[in-house]
Amino acid sequence: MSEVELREVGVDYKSLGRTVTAIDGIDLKIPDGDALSIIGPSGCGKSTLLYALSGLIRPTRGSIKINGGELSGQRRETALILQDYGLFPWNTVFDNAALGLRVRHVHKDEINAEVEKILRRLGLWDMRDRYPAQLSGGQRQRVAIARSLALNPDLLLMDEPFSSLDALTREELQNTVLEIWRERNLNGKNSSNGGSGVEPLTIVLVTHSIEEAAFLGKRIAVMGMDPGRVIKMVGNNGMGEVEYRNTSAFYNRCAGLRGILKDGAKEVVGVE
Amino acid sequence: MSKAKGYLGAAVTLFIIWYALATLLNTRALPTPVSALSDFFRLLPGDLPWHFAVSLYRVGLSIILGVLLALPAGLILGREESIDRFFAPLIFILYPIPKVVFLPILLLLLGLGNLSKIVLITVIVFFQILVTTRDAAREIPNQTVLSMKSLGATGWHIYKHVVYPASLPKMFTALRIAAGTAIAVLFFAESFATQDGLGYFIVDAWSRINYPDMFGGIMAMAIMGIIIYELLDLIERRLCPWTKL
Repeated sequence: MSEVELREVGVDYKSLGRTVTAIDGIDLKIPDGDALSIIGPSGCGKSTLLYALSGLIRPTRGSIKINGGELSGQRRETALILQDYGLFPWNTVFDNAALGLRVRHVHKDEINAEVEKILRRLGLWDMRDRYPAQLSGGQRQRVAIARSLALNPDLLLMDEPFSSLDALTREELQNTVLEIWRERNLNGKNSSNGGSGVEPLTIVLVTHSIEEAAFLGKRIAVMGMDPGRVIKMVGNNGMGEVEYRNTSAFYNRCAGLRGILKDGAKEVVGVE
Repeated sequence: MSKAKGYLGAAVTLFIIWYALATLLNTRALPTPVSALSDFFRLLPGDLPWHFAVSLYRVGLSIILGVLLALPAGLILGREESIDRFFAPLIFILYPIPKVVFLPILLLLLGLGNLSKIVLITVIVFFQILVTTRDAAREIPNQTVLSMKSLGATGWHIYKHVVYPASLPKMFTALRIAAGTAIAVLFFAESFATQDGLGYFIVDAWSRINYPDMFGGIMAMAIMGIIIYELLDLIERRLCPWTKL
């Protein structure tokens, strides 16, 4: 389970002796099993927000609670996918996917079984002995997904995971993420499935792509700049099917988001 | 096998240039490769292999010791700023000093045997590897470390899974350069106050104005270089397979 609550969260950076406020006054409730997209212009602090959620950086102000407990450092059940640098070039596909479990001292047989299952699920099993340099960009991010799923997370954080991929590969991987989210959240409700250990998966996705935010976000948080803050929360109950991408509701949603982003940008100009 | 062909081709090319030069100069100081080669093989049953083995032992052990000491030290200095702040100035003061100037002190303290030579070469290899691995460890992108941390890794795991493999290829580059310096210094260290090693063999032949013997020793030194470089290559291929894709 992962119920996330942020209250008045702010993060300051020290940069060249000056204090820069990356985000400020963030109030967010992310219920268990949610799919939240965070979208905003470059430099609005959306990645900072994600790192704070992951426990990798500590907020300067405010509180982040997960399941009611104050977040202090990293949780075992939180996985993070980064845009680049995520995979290690010196590890094979298999070793990359197994790394999180190895660091957690999981038994070797268990690692092998778990990693095989996930690599097969993502169509990577035949490439298990290859190095990242021998993979396409899409395959690499697939491995990154495999690596985070191997940790069996209940909270999956993604920082612009597909922004360096070509359009079709990007959509393919978005479909994969959507499927995984749906599987986990249907199984959680459906006890006859037998997968008794399957819990809902909460996804928080940071992106600068309007389409990606609308496709993968059941709710979309639009961020503005200086300081980075949430300027609008948009409900997006239409998401959940691969076909959603081709509907007029999707186009309208994207257009709506575009408008909010533009207004947010204007607002900043207006202040100055 | 193509590698052996490469070496053969290089040797033939060198011998042709050498032959032309020797014929042109027509001096006893530069024998033709034919006479040098025949002398080299004449020396093989003699004590040349012994001197060769002594030199290879000295330089090989020094390289191993230098790497074993410098690699962990460099990685730690590169990642731990508080330790680096203290040691970096020390390293930068010592690094540019040609370490051979310490040979007289080493001979005095450690004697004329193997130890003084091994310590001298170890120190030289140590500094070259230290400076490179320190820089390599510093240059690891913060994102890479964050990615490892996001998997729940701390301290030792970050060194084992990120810092060490990320720095290893650069360490090998430094090691190839250091190996060349090590052989050059070995020659210098063996050229006085000793009775064994290729350095001694070459200088001894020189002082007896026995140029064919001298060139036999030089050829043995070239062969030692090839052995060391090929071994390094083999080890790198084993330890860094991802760089050879």
